[in-house]
Amino acid sequence: MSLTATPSIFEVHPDCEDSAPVWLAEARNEAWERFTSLPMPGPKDEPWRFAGIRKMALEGFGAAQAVEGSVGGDENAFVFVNNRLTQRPKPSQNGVIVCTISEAAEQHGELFRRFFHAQGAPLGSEKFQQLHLASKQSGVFVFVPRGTVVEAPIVVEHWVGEGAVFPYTLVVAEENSEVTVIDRMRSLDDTGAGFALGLFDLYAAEGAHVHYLRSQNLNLASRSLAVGSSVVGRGADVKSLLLNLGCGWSRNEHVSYLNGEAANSDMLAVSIPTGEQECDQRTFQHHRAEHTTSDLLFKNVLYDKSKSVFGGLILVDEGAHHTDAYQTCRNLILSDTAEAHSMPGLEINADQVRCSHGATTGQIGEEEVFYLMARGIPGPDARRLIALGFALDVLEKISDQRIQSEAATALEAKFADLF
Amino acid sequence: MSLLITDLHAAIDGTEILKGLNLEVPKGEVHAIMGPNGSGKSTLAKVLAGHEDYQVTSGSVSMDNQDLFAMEVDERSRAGFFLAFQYPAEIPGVSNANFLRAALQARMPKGEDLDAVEFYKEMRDKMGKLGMDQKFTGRAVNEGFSGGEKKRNEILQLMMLAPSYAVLDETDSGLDIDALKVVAEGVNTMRSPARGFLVITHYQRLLDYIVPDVVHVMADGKIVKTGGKDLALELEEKGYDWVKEELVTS
Amino acid sequence: MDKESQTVTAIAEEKDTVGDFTFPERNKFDAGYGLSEATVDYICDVKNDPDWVRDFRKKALRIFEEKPMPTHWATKDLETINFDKIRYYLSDGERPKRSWDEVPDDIKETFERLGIPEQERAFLAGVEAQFDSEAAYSNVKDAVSEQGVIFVNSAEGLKEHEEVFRPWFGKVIPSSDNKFSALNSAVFSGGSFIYVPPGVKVTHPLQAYFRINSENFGQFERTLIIVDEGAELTYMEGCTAPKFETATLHSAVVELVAMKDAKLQYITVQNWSSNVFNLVTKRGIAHENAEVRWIDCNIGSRLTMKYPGVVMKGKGARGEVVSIALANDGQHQDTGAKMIHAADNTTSNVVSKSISVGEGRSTYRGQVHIPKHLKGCVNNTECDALLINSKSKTDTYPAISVKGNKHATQHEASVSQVSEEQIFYMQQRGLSEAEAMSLSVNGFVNDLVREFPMEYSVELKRLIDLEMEGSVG
Repeated sequence: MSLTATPSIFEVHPDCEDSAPVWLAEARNEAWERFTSLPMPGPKDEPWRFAGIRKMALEGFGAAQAVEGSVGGDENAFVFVNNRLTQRPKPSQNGVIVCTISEAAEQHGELFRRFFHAQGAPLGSEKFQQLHLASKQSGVFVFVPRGTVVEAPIVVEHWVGEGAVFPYTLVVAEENSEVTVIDRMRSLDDTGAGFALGLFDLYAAEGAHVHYLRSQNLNLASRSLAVGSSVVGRGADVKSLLLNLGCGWSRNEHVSYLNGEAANSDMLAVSIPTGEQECDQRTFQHHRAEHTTSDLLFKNVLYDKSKSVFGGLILVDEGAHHTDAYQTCRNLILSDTAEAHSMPGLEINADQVRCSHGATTGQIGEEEVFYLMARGIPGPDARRLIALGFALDVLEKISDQRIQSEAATALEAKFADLF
Repeated sequence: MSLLITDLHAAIDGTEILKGLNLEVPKGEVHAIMGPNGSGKSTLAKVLAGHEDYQVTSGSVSMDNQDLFAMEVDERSRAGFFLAFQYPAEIPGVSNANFLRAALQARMPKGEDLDAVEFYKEMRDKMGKLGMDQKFTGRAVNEGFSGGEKKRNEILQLMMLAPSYAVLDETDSGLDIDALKVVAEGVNTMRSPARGFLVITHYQRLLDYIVPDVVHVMADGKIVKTGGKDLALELEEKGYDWVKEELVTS
Repeated sequence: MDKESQTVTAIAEEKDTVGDFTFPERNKFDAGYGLSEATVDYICDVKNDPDWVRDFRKKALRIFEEKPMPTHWATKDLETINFDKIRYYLSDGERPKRSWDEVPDDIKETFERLGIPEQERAFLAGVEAQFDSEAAYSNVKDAVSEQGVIFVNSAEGLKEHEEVFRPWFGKVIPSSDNKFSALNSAVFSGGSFIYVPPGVKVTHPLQAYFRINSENFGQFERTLIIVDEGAELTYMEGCTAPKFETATLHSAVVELVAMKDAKLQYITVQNWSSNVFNLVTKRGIAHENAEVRWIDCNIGSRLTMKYPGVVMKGKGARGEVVSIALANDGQHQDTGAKMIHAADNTTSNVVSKSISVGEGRSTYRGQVHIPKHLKGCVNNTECDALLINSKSKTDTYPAISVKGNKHATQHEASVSQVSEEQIFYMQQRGLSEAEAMSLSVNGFVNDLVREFPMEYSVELKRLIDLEMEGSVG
């Protein structure tokens, strides 16, 4: 629960900036109404099956307050501290819009409005998504015009202390453009209980390529709920990687809409819950057009008393023939008190499709450990190396080198801290 | 200085496989163990490395006067024992380079770090000698490797870790003649007065390329005959039945 | 020929056997339409139930009334069931006949068309046949009863063998398990009770046939099988119904108990007509080193919801579900498996294959549960779906929960089509498209069909051929 004296974000409609355009202010008011009228999700709701409702304990957080001083984040990044912009990088390439959400609402009204909060939250968190809409968001709007390749990755850091923040990453890549976006979620200290209620929407128009990394490493007192979408047009490609390393409780809801022929979405995630961490992930791969492809690989390495939940669905619409869709969840359990719940799913309504899902739960093979030990690597190191390898394997599917190396470093750091 | 095996008995699931095996491999020598299938050759290799499926019921093994059985699997390795596996494990996601770095780092004194530049240089150099493509550095250990690639990878590790004693368990199995020559060449470059080899094989062919100083014949969990390199040829010619008959008649 | 006019019987040679015929009802007892406490009392009175059964039924009725329809996860089609328009008990009031000659002629004719006497004469160890609510004909070969095997209908079981029956009745599947198990518990009638004494290995399968003859009727049979230590049994059931204008409900509860070292195999071939709601709860308990296998084939019905389960209660217990489902136009085969590991070193295995034809829909729902503090539990699940036409549908929804690091579970599911190249290749060799399709589909389920007794597997192949004939062109 929040230690701040500020009113709960669940009870009082937070103040948003006065400079918001009328349409946004109205949208926020309506969202607040919907938020208050929607019921809290409970364990009987199918999208919340196996969820640790008690551990979530999202109520009671107040909005995060401004803090003094700088956090010394990445100088090439947009840095938000407790939902407030504290640093911006050098201006980006010509024609490319990279600005904060508030700036976008003021300066790019019509363009921004078309995409802002345009996707629902079909995987269980509609109530919280409405709360996000009703609140003042931090984060960036990225608009890449037709044919433009953004060379440097756009990096956003969200530093969270006590209280709730509302990060939003909205990426719109026009035809044949290409962009890489990296979100980092970090805590200001080890103890402040933060709640990051975030959204990410990744739009790739025809032939566009979007690469996205969301690296969540908040402290154990914090919670994170992220609602995301990949909206993929004809011949376009979105590759996303979610790293879940921190938080006592975290949940991601990620949908992919394959809207145009030959659209592709790769959905990747690595979670390493330790202690009593719980990591809950729900996904949806919705194939709405012919010849679309999607590939999902989520891996969980579970230590101590941690818990993972995976619920995924591939839906192939009638008429979305020649779809190739895959979904794999692999759990590696390293303690007798950890638990993994897997609910992969398929709903196929079209012909000439190739779809499969798989879910495995297992332990480290003793033969592998023996082999490493026979080369002189001590047992605990051997196990850690194998577990790290299990996790790093996901990165093979990432083509963007910067995302790959940042993710690898983050994973190695988490494993290095384990013993 | 030697690897000295004395009256070794070992069992798997209660069935005794090694039944009083005696053997000494001095530093600087290459010994071969030949023997029919089921004679216990691979069991010996696994027991020396410390595989937990095998129970040592009696006997001892000392490596340069250190008690091998007093050490864990990894300690034996760091103390200088190396096993080239007959069936090397596949380790998904762990790259060859990271694996070898970890193995070498484990040998460094506390607080000292491996020189990464030197390491990569050395690894590339040795891979070149074994005719291994450089892309193997980034590939997961043994995953998706062909039989020959796996064996070369075992020899690469042998070269990188430079043990005092190396046991090669049927390293020739599944290799065509060209791969066999490359592997043998790799082993031969590692022959030195500071290193002992125990080459386990079913066929004499490997010993054309790795010429042994001493040949032992193993049957029913024991060394039953010991001779020079000509013994291998004799075995090839007459088969293992000859040894068994000789045993019965003697 | 459409599927409704087909029936699965054990008689392969009797090609013209069809299930689509009825005889005039001559029911002496009819509980009337709708369900209330009075209905339950009526059933109890007619059946002369002991008081504990009456209490059991009434408690179950209250649970049924309280429980909502499971439409938050299951199909909305369930809402079309009107419980007030169903008759819950029909019977001609006669005791089960022990010899074929004593069975009334029209019922005899029904079963003769279904091929039961031939089965009896051929090899059967025993047959229990149920016509609407009550068993019409029941016999057990002398040899089996001499071994101490009890094979009677459930009414006889609860009265004559209460000491064996009562301790397990409603214990494997409590009335409150789900809405339909509660419904069955309130109004159950018929079904088998089998007890196999320790060490007795019943060499021939025991069989039962279920037949709905009356419109707007709900059949609620209740089966309890107990196989004592080291004993073995295979049980087979077949189901048919003629096609009526309005929907019919079949809601059975089957409880299996395999004591230490026992083996119990339960085979079902379900070919209800395509307006039957088939909502069945089936579960077995496997004690130490015991094995419970469900072998299940669903071809008929409008909606089948059936997830056979095994609770592996003793160390080393094994559970298995092998299932084939075929869903054609207007059909939804919603089947699956539930594997509850409750002891160390327990192993479960699920193999499910479904074929969706025309606008048919097949669904797999699975649950694998490995709780805390166990070791050495293994589950393998494999579900493969084959889509034949562009409007065919399939879904897969497993849930696998594993606690602890001493287990291995693996779930794999795939969806595929009969490949066009395959069909082309076979056509080029002179097969018609339908023949080629049949061959491919039979190939798809071939390994599972082998699990069924020979005469069933021949029949299954024939049914698949028939289904495929209408699916191409």
